Amino acid sequence: MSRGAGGTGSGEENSLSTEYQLDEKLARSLAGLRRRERSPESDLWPGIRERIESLERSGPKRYWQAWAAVLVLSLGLGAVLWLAFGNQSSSAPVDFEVGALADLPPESSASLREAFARHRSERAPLVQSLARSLDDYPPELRVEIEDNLRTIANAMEQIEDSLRSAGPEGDEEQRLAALIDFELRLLRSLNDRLRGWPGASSTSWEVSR
Amino acid sequence: MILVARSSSLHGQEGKEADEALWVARAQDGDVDAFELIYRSYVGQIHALTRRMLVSRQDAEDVTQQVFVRAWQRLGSFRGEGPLGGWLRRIAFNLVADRHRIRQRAGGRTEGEGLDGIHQATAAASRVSDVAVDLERAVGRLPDGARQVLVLHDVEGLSHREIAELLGVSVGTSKTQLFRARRALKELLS
Repeated sequence: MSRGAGGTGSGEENSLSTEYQLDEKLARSLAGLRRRERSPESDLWPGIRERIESLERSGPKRYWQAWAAVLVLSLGLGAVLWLAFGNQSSSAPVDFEVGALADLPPESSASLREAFARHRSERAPLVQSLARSLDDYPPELRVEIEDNLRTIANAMEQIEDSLRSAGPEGDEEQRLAALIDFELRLLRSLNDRLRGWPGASSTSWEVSR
Repeated sequence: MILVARSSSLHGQEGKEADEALWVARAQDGDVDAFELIYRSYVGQIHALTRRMLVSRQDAEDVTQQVFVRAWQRLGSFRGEGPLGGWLRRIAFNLVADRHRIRQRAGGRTEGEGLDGIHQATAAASRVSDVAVDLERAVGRLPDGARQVLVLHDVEGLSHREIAELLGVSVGTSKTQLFRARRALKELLS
């Protein structure tokens, strides 16, 4: 970690030196903020407890968002095409987000572990490649794709949490594995098609399931 | 007496860690009361962080609450390899970054605001008074993007690479924001 702005050179040596000292002092003060504590104005625990207990009551069957994500994707890809071809106006670039699964519970099935390993090794390069390809397209396309990937990531996270809190259940494990594969297929498909544009403008955007 | 004194001094840090390990183990088994002890022990640190990064009291309280709910959900993955406080801070970083992105999408202030936002903040501070501006308040006056990079780098000690991954920006953007934030902070404090 670099704190402060060390200076070199001769002409501005004195002013840089002063600035350097100021930065060092400021850096120490800023680092000291980390130790400060500040309580919320109201006690947050009752609300937290209520949410935790509500999570416990609702149990592990909270994977509906996963399927909502799939639906959103199916509908969203139409919008992607429109944005790419119908709206060529450009604005400031948008950050492309990379999501990732956390660790699986140790008792997870072998098939889920395989899907998880594929996800770990393949997703990041696919997302990076996609992000590079999207530099040539309107930012709206990037936002649309990012939103969809985030929805999937949130759904995966919910299923993971359910698995962790309730232990492995056959249906949920299968759904998580299917969602992982779906996302990887989607990423491969998007990469292939973006590389082919604009020549591939007439191709279908449906992702095989 | 010597033995008693040694035992007592050892109990300080080690005792805290042992208590904490016990709370975590009990909470991992579903004991909400044990989790409350974790909450009571860390809420001050976590809230200070969320308040510093988000400024808005309501936003900070929302995210602080989310941090502990998420921690409860993910407690099974905490293996005690690092400090619990660091693990909670990581959750907070991610949730603050999420909120930042949602705001950007909703058309809030963005990292692109750069100098304009900083100059406005500086002007506002100079109007406040001739009295020295408290460092925490000065940090709170920085624009969102610059403030978050400054807090993550200069307060929390994250590298530019870590910040870039967390906020979904490039390393260069993180460095630029830090430069702007430090310069603006010095102006605010001068």
